Amino acid sequence: MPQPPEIQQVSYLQLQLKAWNWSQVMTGTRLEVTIPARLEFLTFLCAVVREYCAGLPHLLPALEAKAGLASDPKRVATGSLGQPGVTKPGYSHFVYSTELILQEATLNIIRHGYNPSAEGQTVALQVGISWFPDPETPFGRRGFVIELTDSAPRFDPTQVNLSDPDPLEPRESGYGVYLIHKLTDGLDYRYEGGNQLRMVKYLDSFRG
Amino acid sequence: MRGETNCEWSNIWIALEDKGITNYMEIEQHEIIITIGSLTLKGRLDGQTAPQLREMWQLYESRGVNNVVLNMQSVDFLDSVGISTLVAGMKQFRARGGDLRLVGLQSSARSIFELMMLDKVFELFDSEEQALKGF
Repeated sequence: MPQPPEIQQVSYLQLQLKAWNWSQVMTGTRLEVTIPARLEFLTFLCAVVREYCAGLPHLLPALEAKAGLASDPKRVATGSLGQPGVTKPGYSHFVYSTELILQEATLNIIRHGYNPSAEGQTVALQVGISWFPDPETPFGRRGFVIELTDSAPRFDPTQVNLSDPDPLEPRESGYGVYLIHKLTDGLDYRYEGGNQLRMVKYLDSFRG
Repeated sequence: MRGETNCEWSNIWIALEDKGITNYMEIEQHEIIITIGSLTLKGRLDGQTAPQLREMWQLYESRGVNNVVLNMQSVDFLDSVGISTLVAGMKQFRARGGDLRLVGLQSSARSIFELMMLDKVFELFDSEEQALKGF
């Protein structure tokens, strides 16, 4: 696992849950969800996560402007992020793997962090874009920074001892954290009154 | 079967004749009847929907069905819980001499499979016809 890159400059744009519309991107608030008793809520949360991820390419220009980064015309031309908003078959590996790490991390918090009951607890999600220095490219690399905050007991997924899956003895659990490690370009954990997990996904990520 | 061939056998038949060994052949036919469960999934196979699939595994177990073809062409999202459920099903069927065969994984799900080295665990097929053949 590579060391998490140092975050140089992060610009956060957050989304207001009530006005769930990409044209209404809000600043200064973050998506904070209170977990209700009935776990049908998970279905809802998954839908939110899915929309969020599918909308990331849409958000990109606004986030870049906010962070003072010029848009990269080459990327738009090649469409490396896939078609914005397309959630059906054919949507890009980038969106798929971003959705997957977000869902795995969120469900981990709800199922394990808040075990036995997640009722009334909160999970906060915010996404930003940042520039990361990279010795191999003179202009560095850009990536999404996805941050999840929760008040469950301390759990540091970067310290989980991961063994590679064995094709001869396939296991039935433990894929979630493994996927997060494999599909992110950087993983950073802090505990400041709650769990704070930052996951970095480069826009030109080769992972997933 | 005396004197009769079908086209699949005709070449061999001619070869046998040419060698002058015999023009007589006996074919013993064995029929093995196996029950194959066939399932098609659509949508998302994740923590929300996977329990339904686990119920199907139990149903198959109670009916003695150990060979299952699972069509995943229309599954557009697969997460860790979905993967665990597939592995559990595969283990259940293989323990009883059967198998779980997956058809038509989409490219994103396939890349996750490769990441987990599960493409070496499961038999993956492009079509249901191919999957049915080897049982």
